[in-house]
Amino acid sequence: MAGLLVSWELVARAYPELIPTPLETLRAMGAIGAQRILHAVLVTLENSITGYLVGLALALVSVSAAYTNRHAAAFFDALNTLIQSVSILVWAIVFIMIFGVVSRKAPILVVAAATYPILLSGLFGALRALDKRFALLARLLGASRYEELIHFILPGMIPYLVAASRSAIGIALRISVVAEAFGASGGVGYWLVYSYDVGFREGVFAWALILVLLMIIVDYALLRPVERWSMKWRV
Amino acid sequence: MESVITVRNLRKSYGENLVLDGVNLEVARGEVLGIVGPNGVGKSTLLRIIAGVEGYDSGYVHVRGRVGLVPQETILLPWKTLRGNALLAARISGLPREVAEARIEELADILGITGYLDMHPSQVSGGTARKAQIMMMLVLEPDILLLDEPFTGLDVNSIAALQESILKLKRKGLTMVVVSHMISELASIADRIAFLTHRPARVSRILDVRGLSRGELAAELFRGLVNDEV
Repeated sequence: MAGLLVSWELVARAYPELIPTPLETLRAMGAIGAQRILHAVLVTLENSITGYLVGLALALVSVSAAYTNRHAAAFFDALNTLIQSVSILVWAIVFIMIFGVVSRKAPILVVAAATYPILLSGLFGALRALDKRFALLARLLGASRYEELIHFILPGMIPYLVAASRSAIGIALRISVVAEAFGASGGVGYWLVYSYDVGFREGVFAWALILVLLMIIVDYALLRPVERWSMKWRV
Repeated sequence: MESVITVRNLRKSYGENLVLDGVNLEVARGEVLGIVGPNGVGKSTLLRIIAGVEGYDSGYVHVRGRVGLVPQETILLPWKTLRGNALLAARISGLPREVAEARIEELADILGITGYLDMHPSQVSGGTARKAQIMMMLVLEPDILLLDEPFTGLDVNSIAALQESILKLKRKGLTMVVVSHMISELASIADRIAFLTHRPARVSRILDVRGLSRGELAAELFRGLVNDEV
């Protein structure tokens, strides 16, 4: 961390017109104010988490359908490939065109579009890894296909889901900022672009630093502990 | 004595690979039948057919009563305790929870795993996990228990403990078919031992081990070995 700060300071001194120093960036944070930062962070978190939850719900429905019906499996496999092939930029522009710049729906749906394929791929991988062993046990116990899914397959997917969620939530935060940059929802992405538009160079770096800190905090305070907890579910 | 399992001229193949070629077996109520044979000969296939989880090409298989199959590989849900695994089995079979809990305590006592009931599978030894798997199947109250290679991968103490548990179940009158390639371990729990020949497998002879002295048993098993049955 100290090495990064020293490097940043040296680069800032070499290019003073382009890059603010760490101290100037911290001063800019102070100028922006804790209240505005907190509000923007909460908006970005809300957009990211809601979008992730929408992606998660869609992925769980898709994998449940795929488990019970092979035609559904082929359909969702193709859909996954299709969604992955569409750029996030396209999703952002299309959803802003549909819902307008002020609506929070656009960043939420962009995040959902970005996280859905990650989660679905993780769950499909889990399905391939778990299927045979747990399906055999379910059959030996006389479980119905529905009981097999609810009691054996979905719980068995939890460690895989948590691992996929760690990537998905990291991406959700980054993608949410991109989608916010196109609109006027008031998240970190919006203020970052606003700072750029008004020539507030230190502000751009301050908002970027806030985003980095937010991602580190979410990773260490939430995602890593949850992943450690989920390890006991591993076969 | 009344037969609870009857297998006649059973044939099973995978594609062009004939695995079972005219297998004949009878298992009486309350009997423990051991089945021995070389690895990969089709012992597990035979058990799965008797359990009704695998089909066959021709022949006749008749089973009187409910069957519980304990698979070769221990499969317990790692996110549930041993008690939780057994309770799930009970729930699927429609057994009321109070009845299931009492039955689990009774079975855990017979199997000697009462102290491990609230532990997760990753916290117990392979032998205890194997017994928990047997408990999971016994919660379903089967009339016949099929055990596929129950001693494989266990240390000497765990094998002895498992043999003792199987003998307790036998004394309670449970009919069991135990498949193993570990003939001496099988001989100490079985009433009769069926020898399967190399593929395509068929039963070459059935040895009644009840009342045999250790010397006679060793001689009979040796006869099986020299006849290339095991």
